[in-house]
Amino acid sequence: MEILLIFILFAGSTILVAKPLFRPIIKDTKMTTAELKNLEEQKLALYHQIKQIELESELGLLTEEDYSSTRNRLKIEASGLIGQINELKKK
Amino acid sequence: MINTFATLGAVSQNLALGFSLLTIILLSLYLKNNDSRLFISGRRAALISAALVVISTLVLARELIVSNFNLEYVAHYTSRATPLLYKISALWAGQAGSLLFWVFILAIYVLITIYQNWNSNQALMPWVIIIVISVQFFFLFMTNFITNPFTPVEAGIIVADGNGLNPLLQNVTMAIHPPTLYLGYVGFAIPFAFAMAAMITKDSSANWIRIVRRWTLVTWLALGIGILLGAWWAYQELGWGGYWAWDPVENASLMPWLTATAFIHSIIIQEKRDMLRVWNMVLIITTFALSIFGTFLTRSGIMSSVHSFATSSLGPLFLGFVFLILAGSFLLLIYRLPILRTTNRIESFISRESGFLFNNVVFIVMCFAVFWGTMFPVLTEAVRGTKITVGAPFFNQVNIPIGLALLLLTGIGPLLAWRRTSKARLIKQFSWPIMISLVGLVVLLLIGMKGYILVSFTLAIFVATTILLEFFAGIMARKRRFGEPAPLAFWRILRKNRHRYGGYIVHFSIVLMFVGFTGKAFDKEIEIAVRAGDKFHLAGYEFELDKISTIERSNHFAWIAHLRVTEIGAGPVTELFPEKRIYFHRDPDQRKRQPHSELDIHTTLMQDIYSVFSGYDSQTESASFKIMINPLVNWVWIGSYIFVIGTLFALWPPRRKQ
Repeated sequence: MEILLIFILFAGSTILVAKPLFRPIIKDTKMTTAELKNLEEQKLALYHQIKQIELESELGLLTEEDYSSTRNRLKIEASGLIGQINELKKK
Repeated sequence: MINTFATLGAVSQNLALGFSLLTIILLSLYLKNNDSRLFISGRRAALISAALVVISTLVLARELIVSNFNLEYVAHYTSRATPLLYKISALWAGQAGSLLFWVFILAIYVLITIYQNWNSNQALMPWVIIIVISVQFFFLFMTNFITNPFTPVEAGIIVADGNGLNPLLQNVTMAIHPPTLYLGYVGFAIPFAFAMAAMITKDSSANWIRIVRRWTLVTWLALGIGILLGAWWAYQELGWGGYWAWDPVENASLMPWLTATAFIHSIIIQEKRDMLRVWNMVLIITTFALSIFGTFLTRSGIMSSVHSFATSSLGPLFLGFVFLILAGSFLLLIYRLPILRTTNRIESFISRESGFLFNNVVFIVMCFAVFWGTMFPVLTEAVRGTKITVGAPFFNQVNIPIGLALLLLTGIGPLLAWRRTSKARLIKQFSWPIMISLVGLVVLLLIGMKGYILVSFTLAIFVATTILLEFFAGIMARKRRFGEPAPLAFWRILRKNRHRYGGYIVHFSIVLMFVGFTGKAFDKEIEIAVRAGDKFHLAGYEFELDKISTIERSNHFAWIAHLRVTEIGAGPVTELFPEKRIYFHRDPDQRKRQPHSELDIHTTLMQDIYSVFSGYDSQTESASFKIMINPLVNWVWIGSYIFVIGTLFALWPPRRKQ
């Protein structure tokens, strides 16, 4: 009984691990989707940061000059990301 | 002879080790050949190794529940009379079980991390998996070859009943304290792995920080809850009237929490100003190394004696692993310094950045003080052969001023502006908090407070005021901008800025805890032996021992004291029922019977009346008690609840518009 149990565990796990190695190499379209999702998340994080600095400016934690420069920097980063997202979507 | 289930557990543990190794090999090959099939295969191997660890741990839990005394571990830590909850908690009561439990939590984290990043962070994930599975491999090596929980009892020996669990551990808090602590310790493996993966892949952006921020907060919260539960357990169960004794095991959990707190603050600067990239790496490496070091301290036997450490193979292996982590990570960090350096510098001493930096320095100094005090006895024993004990007075003397400096920074930091704070803003931000604290200071002086107590209460007033003013400023900003009524503005600033205001709630909880800590200075106690009908007095209270009754429960016998408490000049307050228990009282071997004092506490917001039934002489019918009046302790626990609420609020994911 024990030996059978050990065999089932070992064989089952090994088959699961080895199976992908016998597939033909395919272009992984999932990678593009994943990258897209990643970029979307980064874009949302930047939007969130822009919202945060708006509040910080209201609270006087950022000078007007710092607020505009940080906001511009974040906007440039965000538009860069949007560009990358559009490029990926075209593929 | 062990049964089929135990065999399943043991074999799963063996196979998990094998599949961990296979994961590392397959993913290393993927990184070399860039063949996605190797990645998929390696990721599956990681999932299988984690699943096998889960199976193995569940099997051990089952064996503990069904009392399979054919396993040494089960026979050592449980008996037939052990209640079900404590049979389960015996899983982490001993060395072998607790190490398997450590890997179990890591395995769950591995499963979650792989699931969360199934289709994202593809560049980092192979390295992340390799790093966490390497940690898993190390622990599985320990549980397979050094301290195996599935070791059967010696051939030919039949164990009729086990030893049972230590009575001190038969407490609900103690049943949940270690798992919570482990959730924290182990959890730092994930941010550490992402940090290393970012360095290896030359990703110098703050991307890894965005990925691990919530994870770090959850882990930090779990470790915090674990520490607080430990303090609560010590207060409720150990009977010495305190909650923190600077014991090495307590210190082992505090150190990574301190560096993780510094990390949580410092990553804000990297996100906002793209500074402190290297420092953040140093903090997460130190935090993870301290987590492993904490497990090493509690499991290697080094704290009892360096000699017991030297004779156990577990200790040197652990120490070697900690050195490997530190050496490997710091070498990588040095190698990547050119891409991690940034041009941004702190522009002014009076800025938010420098506030955060001071806060970080203070956390690190405190961590070092705790580390030094904890390791000093070990070092002196190793070098001079004699152990020099470092007690609570050293830790208090060093850490009270550091703690007060931290409290001050908690108040100052949020009021400072990024880059530089103008004079006008300084005056505007600090005038109210300073004025209110000065009024508080005068009142405190008039009622006779002095020294650290005076400083602590004054700072508590200062910090609480700054936090309230921050909420007020947020509400006013929204009112000005959107014309919202105050309650709606309050709700919206909370909802839209969870990190910021969750952080303030946590800061407020720390203020409350400091109020509780300071109350310790006013403790009063008495130790006395009395007989039924006798009365005694302490701090304006009269205590009368009404009677002693007895009761026999499933796993112990108890004498129960009936103590009537009256406030002199005001009337009855409460009745207390502390117990003196004898565990395993039916065991014919007297040496195996274990006495234990189950205390009783009357709690109010102002103070606790704490009663310990220390001993009972049935011949003279004389009962010994330790009674304490502990002012303000309850604020430590109230602060703890608010700490949990604030952190949960900060890490709760925001609702995103589609």
